[in-house]
Amino acid sequence: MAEGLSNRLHDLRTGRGLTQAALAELVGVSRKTINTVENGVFVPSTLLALRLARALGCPVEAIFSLED
Amino acid sequence: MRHDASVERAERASSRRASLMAAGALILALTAWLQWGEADSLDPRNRSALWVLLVAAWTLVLATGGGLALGKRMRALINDELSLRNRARATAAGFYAMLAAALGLYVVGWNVQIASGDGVRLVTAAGLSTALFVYSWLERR
Repeated sequence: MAEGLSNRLHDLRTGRGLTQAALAELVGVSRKTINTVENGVFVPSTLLALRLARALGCPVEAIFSLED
Repeated sequence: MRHDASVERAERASSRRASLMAAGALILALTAWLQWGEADSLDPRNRSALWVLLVAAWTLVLATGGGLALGKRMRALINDELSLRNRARATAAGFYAMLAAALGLYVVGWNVQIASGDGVRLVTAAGLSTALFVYSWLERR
């Protein structure tokens, strides 16, 4: 996990009944990218974060947040 | 699910690319090792031309991400944000490997005479093989 950043991508995605591949298709990236973001291995760019938020229908802050 | 198909195809293409890059790294390293010190391999009309082609081809693959025959959408998927970051990290690793090989040769050259062609081939192979191997490894994680 990148230091100081947590994300709820896995919960939000599964809550909407989406597979990693389906979300990847919606935002135009590989499934591996979704997987590494969910696992905190990869911190996405602002552009990808915004695309994820749009695909999930929620604000970026609902997906990513700074750890206290 | 039908709309997942292109993502799955991209995943397979990405995996194939990683395997090819690992093979390319091995071929480059082996070629440099096997041709070390051979006068024939430094003949501009023979194997040295093949070496130039080999290096040019793998440099092109590394620089573009390969898959030039794939469609625009597929190329965008296999060269997405994560893949571009992996390639940048691999290229940096290749640069440092090249630097280390050049410095090593410089030091060895104080005591041992090394043909310039051998030296160039070793430095090139160290850099390009490392970059290809690291990229392959990062893509497979």
